[in-house]
Amino acid sequence: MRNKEQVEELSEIQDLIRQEKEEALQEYRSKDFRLKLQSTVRQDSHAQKTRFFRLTRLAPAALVILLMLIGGVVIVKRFVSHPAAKGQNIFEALLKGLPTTKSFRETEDITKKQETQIGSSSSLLGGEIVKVLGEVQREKASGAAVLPPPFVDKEIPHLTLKQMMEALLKEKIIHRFFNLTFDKNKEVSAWPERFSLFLA
Amino acid sequence: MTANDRHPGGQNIFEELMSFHEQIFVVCLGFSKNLQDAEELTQDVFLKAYENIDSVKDPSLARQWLFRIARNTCLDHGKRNRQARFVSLTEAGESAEWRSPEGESIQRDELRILKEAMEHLPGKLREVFVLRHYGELSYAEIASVLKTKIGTVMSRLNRARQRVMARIREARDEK
Repeated sequence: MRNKEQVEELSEIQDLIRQEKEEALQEYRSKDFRLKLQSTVRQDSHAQKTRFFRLTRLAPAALVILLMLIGGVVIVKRFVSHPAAKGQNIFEALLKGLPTTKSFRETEDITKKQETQIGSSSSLLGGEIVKVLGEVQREKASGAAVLPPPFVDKEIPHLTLKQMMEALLKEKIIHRFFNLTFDKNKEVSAWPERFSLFLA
Repeated sequence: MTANDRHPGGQNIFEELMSFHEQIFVVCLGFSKNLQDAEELTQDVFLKAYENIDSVKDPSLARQWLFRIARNTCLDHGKRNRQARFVSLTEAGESAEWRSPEGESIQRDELRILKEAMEHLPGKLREVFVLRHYGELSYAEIASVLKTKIGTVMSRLNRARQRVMARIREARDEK
């Protein structure tokens, strides 16, 4: 009994599916599937061809770019000396020109001595010039030539920014003083009046 | 480039496979339950077949191979459109309008119920049900398409039918 019911139900389902299929197929047959598929296939193969042509165009272009890159690298390696080594030489030269800590200390010692002699009433700029003048006098008296430029003879200890600035200021003042005394260059005329007063 | 350029008998095999396009269409309809989707899926299936005709080693198995492509394409489509595929009963009724002549509301209801019952089937049961009732494949062919045993196909088909019938019964009782 149960089996019979099931068979009936199944045949009902099958009928429904058949109906559904028939109606769908009617609609489907109204459109020419073969024709549609042919055009799709043609489009697809055309797309494949264009893809192929794109590849055939791109491949030589990529090859040329690659060759140019390789050529460029070879030229750079052959004709241009090693940039790192060049840089190293420059830095070495710069370092040789730098004053050593030893020379800084010597200058400091001298200025301290002169400060005690002259007193602390003079202003910073005037005081510095006086210090330098004293130094020159001392050198003349001792008969020694002007100190040769210091060279790096040992490892440079770490200097604070303030120390470095002080050293640079002193160097600048000495340089200006020598310009002022021994060479009448442009800088003198441009020198502020305040400074000429000190000289007077 | 034609199928013949790639495979010695490619064009012939493809022509032979083209004769199954209606069967493939109804299988796609069984999976998608939408006429437009079924048409597009059928096109996709044949395009894939055309592109991969080289992989057909044995022409006697080309039909099963085509149905396997159809099954995989439909499953992929189902995965992609899972959310879109999850339609409410009202929407299902609306989407069934294309196949229903006016005034045939009873038949439309029945189809809607069937559609709903099939949508509730687990994937493995559904594919066997569709291949059997829509594609009209034999048990052996279904087993070949799904790469499984005939016994498994039979038991799955039986369970699928039971579930569909139970659903339809429930829906009718609710009315």
